[in-house]
Amino acid sequence: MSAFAGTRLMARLHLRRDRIRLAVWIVGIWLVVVPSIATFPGLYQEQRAIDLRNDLLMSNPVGIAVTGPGYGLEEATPENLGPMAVNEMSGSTIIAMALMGILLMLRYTRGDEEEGRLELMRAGIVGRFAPVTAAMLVVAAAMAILGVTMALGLVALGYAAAGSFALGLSMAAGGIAFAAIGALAAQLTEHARAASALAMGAFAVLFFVRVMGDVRRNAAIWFSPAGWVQSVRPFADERWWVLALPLAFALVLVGLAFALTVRRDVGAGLLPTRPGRARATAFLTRPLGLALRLQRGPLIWWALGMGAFGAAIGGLATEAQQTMEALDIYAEYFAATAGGTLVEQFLSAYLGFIAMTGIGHALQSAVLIRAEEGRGRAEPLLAGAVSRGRWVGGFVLATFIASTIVLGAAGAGAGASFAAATGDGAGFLRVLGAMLAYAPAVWLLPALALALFGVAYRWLGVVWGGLAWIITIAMLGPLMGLPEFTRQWTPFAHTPQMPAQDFEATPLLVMSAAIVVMAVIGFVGFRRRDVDLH
Amino acid sequence: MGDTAAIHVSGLVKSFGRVRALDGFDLSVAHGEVHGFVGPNGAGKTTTIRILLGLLRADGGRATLLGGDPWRDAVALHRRLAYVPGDVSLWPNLTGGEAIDVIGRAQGGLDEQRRAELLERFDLDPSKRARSYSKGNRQKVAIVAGLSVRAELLLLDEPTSGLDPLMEATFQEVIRERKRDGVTVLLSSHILAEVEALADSVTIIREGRAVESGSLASLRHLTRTAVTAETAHPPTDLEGMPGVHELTEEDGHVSFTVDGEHLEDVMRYLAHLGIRSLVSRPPTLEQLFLRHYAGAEGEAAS
Repeated sequence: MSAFAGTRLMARLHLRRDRIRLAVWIVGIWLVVVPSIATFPGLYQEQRAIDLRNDLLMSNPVGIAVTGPGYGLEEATPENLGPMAVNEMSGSTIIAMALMGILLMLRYTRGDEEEGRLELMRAGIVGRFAPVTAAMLVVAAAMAILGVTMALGLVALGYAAAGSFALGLSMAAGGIAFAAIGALAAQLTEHARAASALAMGAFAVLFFVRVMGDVRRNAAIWFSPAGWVQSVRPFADERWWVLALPLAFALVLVGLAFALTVRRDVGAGLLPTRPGRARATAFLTRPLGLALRLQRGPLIWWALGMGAFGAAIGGLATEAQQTMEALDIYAEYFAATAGGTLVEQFLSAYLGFIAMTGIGHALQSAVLIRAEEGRGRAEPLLAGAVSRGRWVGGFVLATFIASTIVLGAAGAGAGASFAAATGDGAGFLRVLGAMLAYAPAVWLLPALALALFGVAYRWLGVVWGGLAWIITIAMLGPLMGLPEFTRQWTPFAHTPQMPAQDFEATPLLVMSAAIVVMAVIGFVGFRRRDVDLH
Repeated sequence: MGDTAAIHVSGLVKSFGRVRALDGFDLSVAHGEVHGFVGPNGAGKTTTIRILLGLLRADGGRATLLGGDPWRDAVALHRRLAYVPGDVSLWPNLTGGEAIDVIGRAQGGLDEQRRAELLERFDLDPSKRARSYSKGNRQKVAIVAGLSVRAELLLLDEPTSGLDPLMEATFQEVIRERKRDGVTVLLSSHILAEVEALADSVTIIREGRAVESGSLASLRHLTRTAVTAETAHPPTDLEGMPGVHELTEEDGHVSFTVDGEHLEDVMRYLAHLGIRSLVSRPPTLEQLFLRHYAGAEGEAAS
């Protein structure tokens, strides 16, 4: 029996089982990248605007870190916006595609193995190398489709074909390279979670290596797939041969993964698993303690990420001032309502975006309760002396605590870097306070999730549509010229945009009242319905 | 309240959409007995137990648990009972020991000594993460958590699924100990040997209805004993005797089954002929069970 026997079968199984998941990844990333690049001609009609944007971002480490080396930016004109599209989008796109690659890869390898599905296959006609090969083929195909359709989208927008394909294919190659890291991590640890932590950690380190290389303008970029990808230089004398680096890297890692599969048992990992506590702490045995423990890992990552996001924005604020003063389009974007200095307006607008990201966290936390119910983990607790109200209360309180921590981390990050950049120590508290004023706006959708959990839990997914709506209105509303009244249909239109605007209690109290009403609906609804365990 | 049953259910109805999971189900469990609750998958055992736990609300009929209403008085009743589910799903990032404490605390508080003792007897390593446990070990977590709680009523829903025979024996030992302490047990199972070994009385459920209920002894009475005998004189009259079925003869040995109520007459007749050898097998729960379900298939076919 060949070691590759059954590869086709397994690949087709993944495609069949995950056709929707794969489509969501591909369409989702495409829909963020291509429409964003489509807004460039409208944003940059004047050379002055282009030069100022590039100066702003390339003159400071934070700008370079979040974008990239900026090849060809000096030649950008209103007719040649390609280099700016690459500079603006490639840094974030590679993060998204690395996540896609790592998560899919682990799902098809270690995830399947952990669930015992792989054992069933391997006991059949499936060879030793087939699982990794099939997973790699499926992920590579998804990456290729995303890269090519992305390129076609840019060509359709009028960008040069060579640069468009260089961008799309380099992103795909990068995604494949990071998926291969996932394949290797899957062989090392026994559990998908540990493997994903390992692969994500490797990605973070490699991304940081690229950032250091770009900021210091040194050769470090050649030690990271994230650096190789940008070194293809789309729209700036494309260097096609660089595309071979991530692909060769992927081949080497897959080869290593093969070597490891030969050396270990099915179900086992090469790294040992650590034993944990044999007893629960008293706190863990309460619903709140349990709910917090279940989201501890993600909460730590969210708090760190949002803190860094906030710090980057706070640091950029002062540098932004010069650009903002020069750019009419930004003035239109930010100064929909007058008030405050330009720096404050910039900060206010971006704190709003940070808060919207915070909704993503809060919703992730809020829907956890339904997973606990549906997977049956709620059963032994609700069959015990824990009342339904206490059980729900623990999870709801945990969501509010976690969300406050995440918003607080973002606010503290923004406040600290703002205070450091301006030398205005009191700025810290002002920015932190401005961030926390978004809490009611952030909590509306989680409260809706709670109400739905109580009375219509099958519709819980609606809340993600709500988040998409809020983001669309905020990002595209002013630019797309949506009617004024639709822009009011988001809690963010009613939150005081501090520090530019003054604090205003009424809208926050109205939102809080709505949150309380929805929470009551959720509690009462859950107490009256059947527990749906499977 | 001493004379009322620990669990009393009458005419219980529960539908999920168009599927009628329980269709006028009756159940009565006396204080201090181990009551076997037997039926194939999908017959309504788990639905019944979840109604008794107040996790589901019945559409019709009455259910009383320890003198209370399982839906209205859920929390108060849960302090007095412990529950072991059959298909346990644990929090993957908690250890087995942590899960035992979380569940045990929720079920009204663990008895420390019992917890330690049961961990030992079921040979479970509490410091491993739940995601690395096998099905059997996950089941042990639920058993240790549920049985470490001091309760007057145990609701066990196929508690031994996934356990090996050794652990199954340990489980039976523990249940017998609890019974000696006066604990009432409702044991849902499709492992008939387990029910036979533990239960004082049994209810058989089929398609949401109780088809048979009573003490194990009285139920046995309803079924046939298998007899193989060799007699000095040929038992020619057996053919026509009431209650005798499946009569065959081979090399002077007769084999047949006989209804419980006619066993005495048949034995007297055989003794009169002069018995040389006799093998009689009492009816097992399995036969009883198969008779009900074979019957159901027969009805469905006709």
